[in-house]
Amino acid sequence: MMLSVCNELNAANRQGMSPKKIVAKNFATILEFGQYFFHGLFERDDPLLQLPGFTQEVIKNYRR
Amino acid sequence: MKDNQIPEGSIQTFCKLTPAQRAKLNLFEDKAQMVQVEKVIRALPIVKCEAKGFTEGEEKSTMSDAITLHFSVEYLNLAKDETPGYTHSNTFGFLKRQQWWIIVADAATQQQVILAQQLDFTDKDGKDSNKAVFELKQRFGRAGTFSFHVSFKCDSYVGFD
Repeated sequence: MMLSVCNELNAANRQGMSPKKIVAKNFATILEFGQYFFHGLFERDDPLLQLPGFTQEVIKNYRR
Repeated sequence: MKDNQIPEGSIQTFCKLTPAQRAKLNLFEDKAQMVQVEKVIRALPIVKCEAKGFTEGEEKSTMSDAITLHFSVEYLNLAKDETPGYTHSNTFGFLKRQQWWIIVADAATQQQVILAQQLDFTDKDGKDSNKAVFELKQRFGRAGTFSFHVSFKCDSYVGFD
């Protein structure tokens, strides 16, 4: 949804209808925010916490 | 991990191990928990991405040639007639399908977006597929080398982009 809006804003910018220009980093940030949001994680959290039953302790054992 | 010769501990590496290798790690006391993990891994986006640019039927491009940009994402853990399903999450309480996006940016700045497109996992007949292909034909108006920076991003899982 947000990415579609970004595409619309970029299209409007190309036609001179909007001063707003959405750069690649903005697209990537929106997608990454969604990834963390769906799993209730923060940016510093380990991606392995997405798996059921994985805790910091289990991850520590895995990386041992 | 060293005993099992696993090079590094990322989620991708963990998911690419065989079920037997994962079981050997003895991560959980309760074996039923590992069964759950195996079920989730089957739904995760373990993919092969491909991006290429070419001119059809020509080795060198001229000013008037249309250049085809070809992008594909293929799920390695799904059969050919299967399509990515709903996202598994321990915390998100709504149904959400997993989607892939390609972001093509100018290679010099890596900022100016040339294309941002959601990929569609259906084949030419509109049937479910484990592979999404997107092709763009474009005339650049001049001959030469063009560089792009392409990102393949999943909107649902961390660590698979």
